[in-house]
Amino acid sequence: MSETKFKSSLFLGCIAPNRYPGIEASTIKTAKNLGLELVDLKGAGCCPAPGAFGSMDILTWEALAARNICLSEQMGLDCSVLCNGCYKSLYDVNERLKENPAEKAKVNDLLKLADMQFKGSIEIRHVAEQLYTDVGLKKIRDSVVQPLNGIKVGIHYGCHLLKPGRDRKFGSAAFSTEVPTFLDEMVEVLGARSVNYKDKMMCCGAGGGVRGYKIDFALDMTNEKLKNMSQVGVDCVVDVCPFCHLQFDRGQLEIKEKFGDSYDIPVLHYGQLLGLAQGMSPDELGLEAHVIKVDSLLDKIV
Amino acid sequence: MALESQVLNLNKGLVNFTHEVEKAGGENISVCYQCGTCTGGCPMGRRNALRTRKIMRMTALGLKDELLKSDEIWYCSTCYTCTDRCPRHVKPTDVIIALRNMATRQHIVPKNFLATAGFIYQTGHGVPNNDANRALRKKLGLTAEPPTTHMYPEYIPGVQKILEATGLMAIKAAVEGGKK
Ligand code: SF4
Ligand code: SF4
Repeated sequence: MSETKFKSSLFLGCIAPNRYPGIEASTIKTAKNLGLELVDLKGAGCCPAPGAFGSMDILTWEALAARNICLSEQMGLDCSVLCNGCYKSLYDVNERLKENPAEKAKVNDLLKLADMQFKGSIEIRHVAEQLYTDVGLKKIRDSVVQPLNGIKVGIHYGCHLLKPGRDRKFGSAAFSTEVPTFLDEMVEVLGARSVNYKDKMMCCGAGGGVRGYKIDFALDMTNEKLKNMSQVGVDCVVDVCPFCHLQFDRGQLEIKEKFGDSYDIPVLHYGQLLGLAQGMSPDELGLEAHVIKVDSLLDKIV
Repeated sequence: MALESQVLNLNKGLVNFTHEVEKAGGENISVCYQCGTCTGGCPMGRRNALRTRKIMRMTALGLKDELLKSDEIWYCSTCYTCTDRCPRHVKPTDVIIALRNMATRQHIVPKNFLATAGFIYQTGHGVPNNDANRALRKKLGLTAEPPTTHMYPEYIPGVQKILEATGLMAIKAAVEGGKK
């Protein structure tokens, strides 16, 4: 559809390829329609999970993240990620090691064991941020063949793409940590409506290892967000992070079992929403892997 | 152990501990003026005993044992709201992470964190592939195994050597084989 303007490696992480492959497939296909070519990052692994690994041992977290960065350095490409948690690991470690030679030396000692060296030669990007900053709203709007008929979207930004704000360098008010707008804008150019809801910037609850450690606390928070979204009558939740995605989608089943609250709100990663607007079929977007069925939403679109 | 129920005993404070946490990423702890902005904005503290301001004060007072043995340091979802809002540029999230690192070295660490380390050691992934997912991947025109360590297992020994060299696998073995 469009000439290729940008090329970067695609870091998949764990949850997208291994639980919600529709996120992976839709991200690759929709990005391609917008001139962004995402190339396989062969041999990449877990980012590793910032909550679990950063909490146990910062140096292990840095070394495993740096191993993934090195794979992209070897290809001479910047690296794109489609998950906020992966973004935190790869972006933060990349910046830390670039800025701190002593830390970089420690990590490189470990990387020798994997026959690698961190150079600091590339940038780490989040696909959603690239779509807004590099591709731009106009081009996203031009790619729409099936406008989303004003469906009401409850946007969940997730924490680790934007925060901590002092460590990020987006340089645009659209990426503010308290009132970001980039995703709202990207949803609205598809013909959908982003509806405001109480505590929109609140965490999904899953991060920091809390989902695994005390799932009731994690779900309690998710439950509150879903309650706030259902109060304003959203047709779906849209996220840019497979871990938040899992927490909102699978979480609705767990919330029903544990607390008896039922919502049935479909959950889509932005790549999947964009895919629908670009005319892709639900089958192409892997929506069948979702615990919460999306039929109610599809009926409103087509 | 609930931090809220404790009476602070300042005689137990350890100044070195505070410096250690500062060096491990928790800079500026000493300028925390206890305004409570961190606790006020903490989404986790709304539903459990996590009191960020109190953890910052206890760290500044050097109350190492109480902190490392508390459940509360593991309740934080690392959302970084407190870090973004702190008017004194303390980094409460990073303080909590530094405390968790120290607790881990004392073998106080949630089992599920160690389980994630185990999955990565075996497969390179914290959440590995399964058959239902392989089938769906193929339907979507993707390869059954993603082009990660799943498709290129020759990269796994590098991951394993790193995990062994930092001592994390020894901690895992000690915790899982030991008394806990
Ligand atoms: S917001 Fe900052 S200064 Fe205020 S109590 Fe928390 S850590 Fe201390
Ligand atoms: S980072 Fe942790 S302590 Fe800080 S506001 Fe979020 S949950 Fe609370």
